[in-house]
Amino acid sequence: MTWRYRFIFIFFLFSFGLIIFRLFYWQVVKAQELSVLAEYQYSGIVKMLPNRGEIQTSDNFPIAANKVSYLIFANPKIIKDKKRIINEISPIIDVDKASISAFLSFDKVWVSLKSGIDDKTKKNIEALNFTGIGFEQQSSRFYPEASLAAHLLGFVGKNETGADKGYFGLEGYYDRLLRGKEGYAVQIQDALGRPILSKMSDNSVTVDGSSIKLSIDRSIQFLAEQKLKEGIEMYGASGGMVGIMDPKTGGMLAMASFPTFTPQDYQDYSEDLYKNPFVTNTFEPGSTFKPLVMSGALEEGLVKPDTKCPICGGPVSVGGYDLHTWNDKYYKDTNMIDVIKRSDNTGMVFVAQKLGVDKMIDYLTKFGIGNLTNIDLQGEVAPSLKPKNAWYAVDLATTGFGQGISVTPIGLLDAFSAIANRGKRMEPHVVSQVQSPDGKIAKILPKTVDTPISGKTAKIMTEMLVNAVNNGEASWARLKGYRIAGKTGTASIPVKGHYDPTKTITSFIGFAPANDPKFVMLVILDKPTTSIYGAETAAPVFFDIAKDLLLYYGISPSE
Amino acid sequence: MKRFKLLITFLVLVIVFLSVIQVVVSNRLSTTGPLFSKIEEETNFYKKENLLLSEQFLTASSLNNIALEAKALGFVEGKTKFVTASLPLALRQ
Repeated sequence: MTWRYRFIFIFFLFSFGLIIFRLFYWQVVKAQELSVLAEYQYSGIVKMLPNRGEIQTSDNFPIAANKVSYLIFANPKIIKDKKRIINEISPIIDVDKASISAFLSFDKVWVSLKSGIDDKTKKNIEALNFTGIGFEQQSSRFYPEASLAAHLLGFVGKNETGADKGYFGLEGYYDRLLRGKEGYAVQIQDALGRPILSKMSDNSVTVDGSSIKLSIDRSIQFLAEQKLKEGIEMYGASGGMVGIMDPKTGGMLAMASFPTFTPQDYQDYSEDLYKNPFVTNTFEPGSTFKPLVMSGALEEGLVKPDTKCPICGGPVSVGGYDLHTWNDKYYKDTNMIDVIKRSDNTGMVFVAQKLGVDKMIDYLTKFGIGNLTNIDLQGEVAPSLKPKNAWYAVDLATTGFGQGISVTPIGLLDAFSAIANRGKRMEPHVVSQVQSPDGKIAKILPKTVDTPISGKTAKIMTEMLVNAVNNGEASWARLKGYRIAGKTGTASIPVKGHYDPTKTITSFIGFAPANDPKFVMLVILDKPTTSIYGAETAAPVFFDIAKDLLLYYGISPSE
Repeated sequence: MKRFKLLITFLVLVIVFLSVIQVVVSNRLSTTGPLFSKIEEETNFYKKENLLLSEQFLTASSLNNIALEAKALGFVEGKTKFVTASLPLALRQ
């Protein structure tokens, strides 16, 4: 009997040994090769697209969010009644019949007809019960406020591989942050192709995009756009811009430009409209530049508010050029308060000459002129200042009244905000905080860039600007009861080496309330036709917006 | 002798036990696919509904829409504006 038991025992032992050996062969020696083969057989790799982060205004309203959309596709091989499909689908998806007919004539099992169609359109098509028509769910960008702040936002288009990519504005500047990171999931299927397990690859996890919160106030943005649009229509301008900033933090409260576009349908507009002119366009600022030059001279003690101008009795001749005032009226021995009030070019020539080239360059640099403001928007430019040895006497004189020098609107607004902020110039920014998908919040703190003038000089300049508003050429439009500091500007447009006498860029820059400014605002109208002067075009738009802003902030009249 | 007998019985029992487990596990796994698909479908459905409702909510609460609705209802911008000396109670924080 014993040998039988032994035989069976040895047989089992041998069998187990054989199995273990075979298992070792398959699972250790051939493991890698087989696992690749198996993966091909039972799994599929699914691309997991991250959700793009939202862009929210200061009231937490997403002005750029995501929505469900669909790609409609067809299988031409199983479609029987092509004519019916062409005739009925064409008006619903807004694709011409010839294109659909061409798509359906392909010898393929999958052709895309249109992407980005909404849920309602999808349901309408589904109700028609076509064979061979299907839908693929997608996620696309959605702008609830339509064209509001379009230049600020930019838009989301496609890159060379067909993936979403942000262009221009915040969508472009913060694209990597908003986009997140793609992941890949391995979908394991049974013999019939049904999923039985789902596992994310360890080294490829989807990370949703971060959301950004702006300092932009949605109500102020809406208000600014409405008023600017009305102003452009009223004064027959070809375009216009408004920028409103909190001078204490540098946070932009609104930034609007016309003509504009709708980010959702960006492809329907000219590419020229995509750039944000508030940061990419340059212009000669004209008289709105005078307070910067005057501040420098006051800071240096070269002039005082009551300093008399000995050269203001008539046109000033500099380097062979006769420099005139805007209305050809001259006031002998006028003081600096009246130079600003009357926007006297000859008075500013006197101030610029007192300042000299070295100090002029020094102060302009401190005010940020010639350098980027570093605002967090795509495409900012900064025309550089001429090198010291290239300044002629006439350059110094004309810079005094803002001609012969170029700035961007954001550069001018940021420089002027230093006067409103007791001499401190803040770095302008649009984003106030970034929220990562796991809820972590990173705040962007206000940053002081420079202190071009002292608080004392800023106060003196503010009083001169309040006087300019109350008694200057734009006083007819001012808000009675409020202390608003401001300055008009009328800049000629250089064309082929001379200035066009019929076309101007009019502007008004100011802040309110003068004692404790809540906002600093720049309004620019491009080539207004009803009048060529800032006092008659940009100033009323400024005060119209300021009136509602003061009401919005609950600020009562102080006088 | 006895030890061999016991060992063989034990090995046979292990084989039977493992076979039963394999049958049970395979049986359970075979029905996981449809269930998994159903759960995934439901999750996607609610995600989609959520996005569609968000879209409707954002469109309805946009200032553009509110301004249009207000205009259609006959609201006009007030000509007389006044500001109280201090912030209204509701706005004080």
